[in-house]
Amino acid sequence: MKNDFKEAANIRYLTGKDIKFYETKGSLLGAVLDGEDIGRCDILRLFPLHQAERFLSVRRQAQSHRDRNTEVGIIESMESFSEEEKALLKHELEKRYFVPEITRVKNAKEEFGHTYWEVETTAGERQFTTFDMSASLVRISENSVMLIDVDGSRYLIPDLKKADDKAMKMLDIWL
Amino acid sequence: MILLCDLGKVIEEKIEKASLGDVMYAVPFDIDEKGMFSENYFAVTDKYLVSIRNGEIGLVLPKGKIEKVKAVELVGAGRLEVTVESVCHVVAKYTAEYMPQFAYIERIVQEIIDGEERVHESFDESKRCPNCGRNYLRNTRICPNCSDKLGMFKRLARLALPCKNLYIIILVLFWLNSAVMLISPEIQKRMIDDAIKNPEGTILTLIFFVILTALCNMSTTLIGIFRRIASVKASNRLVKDMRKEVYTKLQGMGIGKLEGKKTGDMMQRINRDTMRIGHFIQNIGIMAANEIVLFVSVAVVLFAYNYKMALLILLPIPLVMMIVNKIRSEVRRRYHTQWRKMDKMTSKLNDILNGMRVVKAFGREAWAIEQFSDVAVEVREQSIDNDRYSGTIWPVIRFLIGFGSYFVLLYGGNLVVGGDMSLGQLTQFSTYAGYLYNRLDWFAMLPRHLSEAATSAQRVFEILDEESDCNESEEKPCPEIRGDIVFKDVTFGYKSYRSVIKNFSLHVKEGEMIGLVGHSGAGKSTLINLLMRLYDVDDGAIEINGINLKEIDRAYYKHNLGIVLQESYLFAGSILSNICYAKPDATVDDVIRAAKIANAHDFIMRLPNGYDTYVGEKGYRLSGGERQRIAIARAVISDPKILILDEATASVDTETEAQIQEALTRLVKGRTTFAIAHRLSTLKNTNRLVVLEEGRIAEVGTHKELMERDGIYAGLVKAQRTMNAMNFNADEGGPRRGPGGRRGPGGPGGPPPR
Repeated sequence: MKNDFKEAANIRYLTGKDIKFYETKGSLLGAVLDGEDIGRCDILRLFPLHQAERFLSVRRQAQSHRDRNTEVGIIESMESFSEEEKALLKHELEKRYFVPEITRVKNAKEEFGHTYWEVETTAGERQFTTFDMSASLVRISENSVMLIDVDGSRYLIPDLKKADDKAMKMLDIWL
Repeated sequence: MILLCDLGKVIEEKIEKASLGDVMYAVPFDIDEKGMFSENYFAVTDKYLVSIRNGEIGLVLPKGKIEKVKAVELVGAGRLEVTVESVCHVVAKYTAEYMPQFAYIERIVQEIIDGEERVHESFDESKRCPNCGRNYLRNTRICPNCSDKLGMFKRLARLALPCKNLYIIILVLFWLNSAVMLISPEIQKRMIDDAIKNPEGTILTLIFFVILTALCNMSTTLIGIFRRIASVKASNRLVKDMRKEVYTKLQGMGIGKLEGKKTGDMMQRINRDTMRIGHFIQNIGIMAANEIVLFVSVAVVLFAYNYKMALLILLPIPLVMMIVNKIRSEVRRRYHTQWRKMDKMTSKLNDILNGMRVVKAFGREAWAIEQFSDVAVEVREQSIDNDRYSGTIWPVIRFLIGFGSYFVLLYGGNLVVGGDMSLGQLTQFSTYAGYLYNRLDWFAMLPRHLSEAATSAQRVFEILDEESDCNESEEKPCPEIRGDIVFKDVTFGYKSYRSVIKNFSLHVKEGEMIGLVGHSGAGKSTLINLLMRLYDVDDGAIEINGINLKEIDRAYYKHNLGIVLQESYLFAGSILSNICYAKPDATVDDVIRAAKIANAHDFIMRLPNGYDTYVGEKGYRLSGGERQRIAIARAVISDPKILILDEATASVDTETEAQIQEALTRLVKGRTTFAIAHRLSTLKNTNRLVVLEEGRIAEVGTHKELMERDGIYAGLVKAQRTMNAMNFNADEGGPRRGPGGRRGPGGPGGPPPR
């Protein structure tokens, strides 16, 4: 039964031996799978909130708008890849998952169910607005949360213990 | 949508200097190559696509060489990819804020590639205030920073306006009560000094004062009774009006907004929050008007009598005010937290109760109990914590407020002993001081009441401030709906930057039956949602008899629409009332006819209570097929010109399907019909089949034409035939059935058309 279950899913785990990554002319990610150049690839996190660098789905880009991206395999861990490839993969993930970390909350004010934030992030200064904190605050772990603004942009507070008072005052009610 | 923003003089000059042509469209984007926030622009000129990063002209791509364009949706951001000479370039990367604009730019560039360039108007639809850059309040164009601030309490007062006469009566009664209260200590003083302490006082004088005191008490009791009766009346009316307003707003809200809300939370807002606001206006708002008047009057009397003693009474007040001010935000925060946790508990309960079958099926009862008890514990702890806090802080504040009375006793007692003040005067003074402390006590509790009301009001106003998804402003009566439907370049997405239906054009003639076919997610149900006017199109138009759907009176349109969905929901009530749902004024004859057309009459007659059989959550358990036939009767009773069948027979067994199909065949005659079915056999009677793929029309034609074309439709038919063959083989010739004679969900059934 156990074997049937395993075989039915037919997952292919990829290592550095199976797939090589390279940078395309337009600075995007391409790959060579089992010696065959499969062109542009997308790298998607299976668990974007909890496992940033493990369990990555490698998807071959669709050739025409009618096709869909297809998964060629899953990278469980980046360990077997060269440093250069690791850097490429990390860069690709950073580009896809744009979630700046909040380093300081300069101001946070609540009005009519909206919270207006003025923050410093790892990507620079930013002002954003959240609406209905029960929906815009996502708890990632005991100590980290993500804020999703009214447009859908995401901001990470990686460590609540280190978060400043202004942030905690706003978040405390919702945590 | 702003498609031509101001690039600034410097950039415009650089574009001109580089001979890049005239700028036709320009939109900002905010992420640079290193992933940092920055000010960048993407421009489309008459010759090139130009990326301007940090004030410098970057990538320039000639329009004539563009092969492909795609606005890629990333996580929390997006990017525009343009392929030129087989090389894909990222020309812009932006946060989610700019996704709608770049979705539009993608369409514009696609038109350039297709050689169908059109002029697109730039218009302001920004969600941000142009003055301060802050987001407007959701679904409004009100900037809380710049607009005239309409205070929360002003709004609350406005809610009470319809009952203003009652409130005036209550206020007058309050003031009458206060006047009697102010007189009482004077009577007390006279009684002590003139009748009790005075050696010349007679028993008659004493009786006179006792009667006077009794009269005062009687009048305050009577006034109190009348005031309470008036208050209850006003409060209930206010709460009812408010509940009705919130409920009406919810009913008027587009399905898109409603789907984003939790049932438990909505119920709390309609039930609890409105009650709290009602309570606040009645018990706090009106009382405040009285308490302030009483406080000032008592203070004036006290100072007039003896300003030194009055000052002693007021001594601890500044300190108390400071403390109250300090704890106000803490109190608000605590109660806000408690309510949020209670909302969470209600939502969790709602979730688990709705999913009870799944819980039982997987034997996860222990998990369900744990889930609920976890939140129940959170509520308990927060509640205990808050009560402990309130239970400690308020008595301390009360003690501090009353601290002045000890000074008064000391100072006043000394005056009485020295003969400078009579005992009656001291008693009168102490009573007035007691009044003053009671008022202060009440004012000290005000922050808590204010915070409760403000939180509830905020939650209610959130609903009242929501705008309808569908704009009804331009609706006008339509002469007659006949069922001639034209889709003109319809584009729609649940999120404006992610189109589900793209440039969909189709002319459906009156009485025609259209079958919608396509993979899951191709946009079939979305198209139906648009036709049902659950959402309005983003671009293009749907025209009924040549009139834009947006301009047709919604109620009138829906009256001409018959809908049968996959899982039909019947409301708690009789079969009769459920069939009459779409036409409340239907005659018995209408109902029986509708039931007969729907093949429902005979099974209804087999039920002991016939058409009076109670159905719904606590009613008679109908089978899926029976429910479906009642739904068909409900759809047909208003004799609709347009009929929508969304997987109407997907969840019933083959035999029932045959009966329903027979009913549907009768039903569709003379009506414009749209039918969606995964089981292609159910579409065999359609005049035309429309095959959708990624929101676009991929194929249109009859079954025969499409089979000859050997495209997507032919592929789907073949796949179903193969599946059927497999099922028949597996079941040794019988169609696969799930328990209870039903087919498993999504399992293909009857043979596809040949």
